[in-house]
Amino acid sequence: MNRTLIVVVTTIILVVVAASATMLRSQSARLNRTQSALQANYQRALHDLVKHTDNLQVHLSKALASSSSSQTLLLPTAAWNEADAVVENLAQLPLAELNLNRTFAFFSQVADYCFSLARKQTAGIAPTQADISQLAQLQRQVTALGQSFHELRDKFGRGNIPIQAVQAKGLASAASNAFLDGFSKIDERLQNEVPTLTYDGPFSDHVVNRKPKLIEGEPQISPEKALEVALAFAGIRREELLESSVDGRSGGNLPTYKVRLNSVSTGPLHVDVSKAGGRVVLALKPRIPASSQISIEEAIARAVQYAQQRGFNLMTPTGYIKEDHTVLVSMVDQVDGVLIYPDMVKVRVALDNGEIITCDCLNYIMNHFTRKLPQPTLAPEQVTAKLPDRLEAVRVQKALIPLPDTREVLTYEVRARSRHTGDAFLIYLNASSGQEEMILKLLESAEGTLTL
Amino acid sequence: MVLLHRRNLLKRVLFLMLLCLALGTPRATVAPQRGYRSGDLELLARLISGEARGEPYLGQVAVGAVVINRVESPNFPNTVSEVIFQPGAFESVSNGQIWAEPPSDTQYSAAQAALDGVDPTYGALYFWNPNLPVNPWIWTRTITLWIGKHVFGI
Repeated sequence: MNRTLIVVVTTIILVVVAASATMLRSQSARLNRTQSALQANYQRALHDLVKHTDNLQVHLSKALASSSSSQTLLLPTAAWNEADAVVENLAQLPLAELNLNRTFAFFSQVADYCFSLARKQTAGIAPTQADISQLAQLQRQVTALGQSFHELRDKFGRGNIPIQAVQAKGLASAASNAFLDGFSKIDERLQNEVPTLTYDGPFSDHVVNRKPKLIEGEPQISPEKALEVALAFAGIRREELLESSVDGRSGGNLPTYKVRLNSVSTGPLHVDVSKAGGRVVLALKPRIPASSQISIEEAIARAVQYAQQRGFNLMTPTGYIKEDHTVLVSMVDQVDGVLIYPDMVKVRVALDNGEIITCDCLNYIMNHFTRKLPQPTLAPEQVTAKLPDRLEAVRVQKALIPLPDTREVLTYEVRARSRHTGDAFLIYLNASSGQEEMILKLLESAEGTLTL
Repeated sequence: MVLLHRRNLLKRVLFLMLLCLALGTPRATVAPQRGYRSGDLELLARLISGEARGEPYLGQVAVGAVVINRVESPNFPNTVSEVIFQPGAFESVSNGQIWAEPPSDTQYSAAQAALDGVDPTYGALYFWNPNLPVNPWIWTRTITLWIGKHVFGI
C-alpha cells in the first residue's frame, strides 16, 4: 500500500473526527443553554406558584378577620388577583399530560367567587353568614394546597424539574414521574374532598353545566327527520341532492345530528340539527370568498332576510364586522321594544355573491324561551341623567342583557360618546336601579364595529 | 500521472465530505411571512395549521373551538396564548410544527370562525387521533364530534 495514501486517508479521517467533535461540542453547548433557559422558566413558575398561593391564603384570612366595608372590597379583589396568578403559573409548568382539571377549576372558582364578593360589596351588599363560612372553608383548602405546593417546591425547586420536552413520550424517567405524581396526588385529593362552588359568576357549576333552554323537554327526532329539517333550512329540494349523510353519534349537553349535504346549487354544506326538537343549531358552507362585490348594507339586509325566512321574527341587526371578504352580522329579536341579546343569531354573508355561508344559532338554542319581560321602574331620562358630564348620550334603547352568570337583566342600552376623546361606548344601566350593569367599548372602523 | 490522479481523488473526497457535513448540519429556515394578523387570530390559525393541516374545514374550526372552550373553562388557563403554549398541551407546539408554515387563508378563516363563537364540538375541551396512542384517561371523555382524523370530547 502506498504510504502517501495511508497518510492522506488518516489525515482526512482525523480532520473529519476533529470537525465532528467540534460541531458536537458546540451543539451540545447550545442544547445545554436551551435547556437551562427552559429550566429557568419552569423554576420561576414553580416558585411563583408557591408565592401566589401563600398570598392568596393570607388575603382570605384577612378578609375573614375584617369587617370594614372597604376591606371587604379590597381583600377579595386582591385575593382574586392572586388566584388568577396561581392559574397562570400552573399553566406554565410541564404538566399538560396530567388531568389537573380539578386544581385549575378550584383556583379559577376561588378567583371568580372573590370577584363576585367584591362586586356585591360595590352594590352595598355585605357578605352573608354563608359567604363567611364559604370563605373560611376556602381559606382552609388553600392553606392545605399551599403546603403541598411548598413540598413540591422544596423537592424540585433547585433546578431539577424534569424537562419533558426532550424526552420521548413513554420514556419518562423516574424523576419526571415523581414530579407529575406530586401534582397528580394534589388533584386527586381535591376531587375527593372538595365540592365545587355555585355562586353568581361565569365559572360557577350551574353555568358550566347548563342545558339548552329552547329544546328542553322536546321529543327526540329520527335521522330522517333531521335530514328533512336540514334540507328545508338550506332550501334544497330532494331531487337536487347529489349526496347526503346523517351522523347520529353525539354526546354532551346538546346532542345533534350532523347532516352533510351536497347539491349542484349549494355545493357541500354542513347542518347540525338538535336531536331534541329538531332545531338547526349550526349551518356552515366551507367556502372562502375571494373578492368583495356587494356592499355591507346589502349583506346585512340579506342576513336579516335569511333569518326571517327561517322563522326568527323581527331579526334586528345589532352589529356587523367585515372579516376578509365576508361580513359577520349579529341579530337579535325585539319584543315590546326590548332588544333580546341572549338570543343572538350570527350570520356570515359572502361579499362576492351575497350568499350565507354560516348561520350560528347556538345562543338562540341555549337561551331562548317565552319570557315575561318586566317593566322598567325608571324612565330613560332618569337613568341617563346619572351619566357623568364627560359622556354624551347619543341613543337610548331598552335591552335585555345576559350577565356572565347567565342571569338576564332588563337595562337601558345607552350609546354614549366621550366629549373629550370621542370614544364611543355602550353603557347598560339597570332599568330598575339605574346601576351600571355592563360597559362595552366600541371600536369603530370602515370594517364595522368591534365591541370590547 | 499516478500522483495527479490521487490529488484529484483527494479533492473529490474532501469535496464530498464537506458536502455531507453541510447537508447534515441543521439550518434555520424562515418561511416567507404574509403579514401578522391580530394576536389571537394569528396564534389560533398557527395552531390549526400545526394540528389540523390536512383536515376538512369543519375539523379545523373544531380545533379552534377547543382552544376557545378551554379559555372559557375553569379547568384551563384564561387566555388564548396561555392555552396554546401550556407546556405539552399540543404536539405541534412541542415539536415546533406550529411555526413550520404560515397559515393558509382557509386556516385563518377557520380561526376567525372559532373566535366568532362557531363551535361544532358543542363544548369539547379535548381532541385526539383515535388511531394514535394516547393517555387512556382521554377515552373517558364524552365524545361530541367525529370528523376527519380527529374525535372531540368534553
